[in-house]
Amino acid sequence: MNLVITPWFGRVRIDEYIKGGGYEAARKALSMKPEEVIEEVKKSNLRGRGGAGFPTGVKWSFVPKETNRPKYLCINADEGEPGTFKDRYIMEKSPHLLIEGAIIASWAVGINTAYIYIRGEYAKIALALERAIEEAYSKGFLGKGIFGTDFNLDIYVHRGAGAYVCGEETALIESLEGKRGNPRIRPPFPATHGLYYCPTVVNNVETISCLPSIIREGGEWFAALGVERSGGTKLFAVSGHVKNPGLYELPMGVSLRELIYNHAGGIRENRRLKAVIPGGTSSPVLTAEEIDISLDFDSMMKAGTMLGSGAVIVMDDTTCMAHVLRVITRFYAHESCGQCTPCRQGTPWMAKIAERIATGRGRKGDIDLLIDIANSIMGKTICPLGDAAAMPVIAICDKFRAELEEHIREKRCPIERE
Amino acid sequence: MKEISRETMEKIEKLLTHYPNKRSALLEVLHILQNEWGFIDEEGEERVASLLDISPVDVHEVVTFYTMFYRSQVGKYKIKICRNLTCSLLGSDTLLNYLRKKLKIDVGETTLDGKFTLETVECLGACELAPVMQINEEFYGRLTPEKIDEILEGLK
Amino acid sequence: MSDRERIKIVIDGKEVETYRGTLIIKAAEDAGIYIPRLCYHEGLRPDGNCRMCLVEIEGERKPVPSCMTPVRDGMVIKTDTEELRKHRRAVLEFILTTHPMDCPICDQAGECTLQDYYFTYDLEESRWREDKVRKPKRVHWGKNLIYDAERCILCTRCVRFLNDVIKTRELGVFERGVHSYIGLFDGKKIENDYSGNLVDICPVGAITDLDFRFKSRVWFLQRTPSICPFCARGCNIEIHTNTSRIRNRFSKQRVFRIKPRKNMEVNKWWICDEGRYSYTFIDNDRIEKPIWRGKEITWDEVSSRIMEIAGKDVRIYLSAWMTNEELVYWKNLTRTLQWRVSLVARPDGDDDNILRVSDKNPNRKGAEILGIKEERGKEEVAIVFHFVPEEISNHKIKIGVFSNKFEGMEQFDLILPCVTFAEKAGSWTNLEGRIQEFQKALEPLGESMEEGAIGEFISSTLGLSMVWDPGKFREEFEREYKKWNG
Repeated sequence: MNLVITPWFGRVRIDEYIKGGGYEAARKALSMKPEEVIEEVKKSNLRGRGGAGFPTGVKWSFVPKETNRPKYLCINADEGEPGTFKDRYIMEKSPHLLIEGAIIASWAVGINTAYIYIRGEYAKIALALERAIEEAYSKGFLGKGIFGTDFNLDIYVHRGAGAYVCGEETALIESLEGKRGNPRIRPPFPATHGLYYCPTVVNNVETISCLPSIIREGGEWFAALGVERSGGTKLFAVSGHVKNPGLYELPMGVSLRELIYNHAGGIRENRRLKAVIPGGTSSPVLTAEEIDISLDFDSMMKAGTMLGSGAVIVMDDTTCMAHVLRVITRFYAHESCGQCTPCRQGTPWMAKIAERIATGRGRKGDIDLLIDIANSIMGKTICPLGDAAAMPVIAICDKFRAELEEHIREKRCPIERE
Repeated sequence: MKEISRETMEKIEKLLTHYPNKRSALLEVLHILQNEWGFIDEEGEERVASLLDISPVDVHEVVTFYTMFYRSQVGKYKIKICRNLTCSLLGSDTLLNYLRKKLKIDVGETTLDGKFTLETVECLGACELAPVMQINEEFYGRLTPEKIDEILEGLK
Repeated sequence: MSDRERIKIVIDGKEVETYRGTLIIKAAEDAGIYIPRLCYHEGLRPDGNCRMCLVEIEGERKPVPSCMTPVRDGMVIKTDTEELRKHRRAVLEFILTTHPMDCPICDQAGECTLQDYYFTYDLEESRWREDKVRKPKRVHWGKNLIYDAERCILCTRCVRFLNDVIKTRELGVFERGVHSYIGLFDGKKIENDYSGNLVDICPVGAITDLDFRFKSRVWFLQRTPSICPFCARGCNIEIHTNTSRIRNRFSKQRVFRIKPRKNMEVNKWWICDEGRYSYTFIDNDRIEKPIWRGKEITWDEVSSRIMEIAGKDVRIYLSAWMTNEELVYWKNLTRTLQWRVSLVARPDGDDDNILRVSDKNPNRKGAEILGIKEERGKEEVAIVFHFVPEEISNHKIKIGVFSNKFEGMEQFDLILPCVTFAEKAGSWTNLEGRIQEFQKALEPLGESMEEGAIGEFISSTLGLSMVWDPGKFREEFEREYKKWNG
């Protein structure tokens, strides 16, 4: 079996989950030393699946070993990156996979309290998660003295309330503390000063859900499923103009072309592919000529884009790229927390310009202005939301410049979208 | 002084045990009380503030930051249609206009009978079902005007 | 803690010695290198949100906010590269996409950080060609505060001041993104005693002072360093006057506002509202001529009145608002004339744990050092400075030295007009025993005279020659101070 997550889909109740072998990995982890667990995760080349791709084992090792402050695990279930729905699947179809992973992570780092920060819109899923957690408590897999050791762990579900920025780890922490979701300046990092300024690990739902199989089969097994420096499989959420939108678990390193054409059925109505956003709207767009690319963290970065959350949005030739630009810029302007000058002031500016271009009111110089604004935001903000807003703008202006220029010149959308 | 049912107070009291300080419970408490009151106005904010030993300013800061909190009465069914990329690529803009015409209200408004409030939202995390809308806690995907008619019909 | 360890860093090629843990922005400033900043204020917890203070650090991928980053041994910092200059222009252009072009009607003009920075770091034309965001202007926040949400750059200095320094927490940031604004909860106004400081710390004209609104352009103001007289804390202030460009020829206003003067040992960056807004007495309701039993007289006529008290028993009530020099002088004078001397003071008031103390006089300590006690007597003549003792009716002949008219002044037979503290120079000793000097901001109004000059006048009328030489009396005070200090 070389799948990590999807085989567990459908085992929603704890008895079904246990019957399939669930909670064995957690039991095994608690019989290992915490450092051994961290080693295994390091060997697995597991990298954060929320979008940033930071090596998980390394992140865990930043947490100080001895401390008289409590440590926390925050599971990032805020899933706001447009195009992404993988965490929803995991929590809907296999919540215990997440809980088991949380037990493993908490044991490894020395954490006794974990919060699942779930986006407010997933209210029903939050209830299902709470039910699953109750089931785990009743079996003694959570609470005091897990698996007969003296390890205690409590997990609580905490709902967000409609803010994409709260998917950023320090904004998530601020939100958990009952405040506005304003990201914090780093350093210090959550590993040393996180929730309540105590050592905290923030991990994505999918990342945590990989842990049971890493412990059960070993880190090397997991690493071998993928490619160098991107271990394991990845859940790819494919949507847009494909015949079969949905969730696909494939090994790291699969080609984007294969994902779109072999798994997601190719373009709907047999139209032509025009563009692909490979890792959520924050990732630079790829043209139809650029899809022979390996879907792993490093290859994507080398190609000038990013794997991100693995949310693949496919666009065919009915798509107006000026409209895409308008939708994306409008999103980031709406979600900017407003703390720092470049993002707060720059994102709505870009949105206004993109709106004009898309509706035939663009002016000469608008495209270069957009690129300049985006470059002024990049690398100058408190958190990566600024970068996430800037990168797609630069990419679309770069790769689809002619189409944008046509909008400006003709004062209308050539695809007659408007 | 805004009323809170005993059941809800018990829920809140249990909730407070989840966190080392009361303020952390703010978002959860706001969700619970919005369920009960329908919305959170200044009076509600003061009540919440006294429950959690924080200042009303702190509560108002949070209520106005997050999009899911309503500050005045809204409809029984809150229709939230996604306007982000995949949904837009698959026609959510047209469906929004359909809803506007059908309900005779614009975005942010409520029908006169108090039944429906129309909103646009960003990505709901259900893009494989695009175009998607959320009504209260339910997701509805693969929408067409006919499907929308059917769904709204079924809402009492 | 190793925070006080001395380390070496390099800023813009210059080797600088500083202490480990110092913020880069402070270390640079101490070395004479100014890094522009909007949200950073020395007296507030830093926030790092304006991004104006970004600097480049060798070995770091991205520029860092110098207001949030402490120095480390061997750090190499650049504050003025081409990249950073471009970035600062970008930050200013960003702000100006929503900041209204209010300069012609904005009080902050001339002392506006945004204006100054535009001239220093920018001077480019804005490329904004959209409709500007409209927000509420002229929001009354309470006391003298007016908030303009369009001008606001969301630096949050005001929020941090009220949360962390005064701890009254009236303000918050509401909404999100570019729609954010700063406001009160449910219109509940600001009523604390330090509200005026918000006007000072706002780097732009988003928070302005109703008391100063539209009254004068700041470049017409003269600024004189002074000390606040309203309590024994002795906060350092500046008196801002405008005697050249007056609004209209009927206006008597010379003092336009009081601002704090930074003194890390006394009041840091702040003053209370009483000290800030109580200056109107300097220009209004003044006694400008001597008064004999209700009628204005000349100073010549005053002499004859003074001669009538020669040989009588006199008690002088010196005031705890008089300067160290005046107290020494008058103490010496009364001793020579064999008059009794005691102290009268403004009654105690409320105190807080911030700046205000209950002693509402600037120089009770000076009187204490000189041994002037708060006694009362029944001598035939009383000469009273500034404040009327309750037992004044014990004295038959009452002479008062006052700057301002007040109810009950009719009971005084002779009133001599004196200056306010703004119209003389001198020193006071605050409650900690700190001697603080203040300078003369204005010429005496009308025929009012300094208390020392009045003493010289009286003494020469009575046949003595006691010259009012403040320098000499300051020296004598300092000798007494050393003795008192042990």
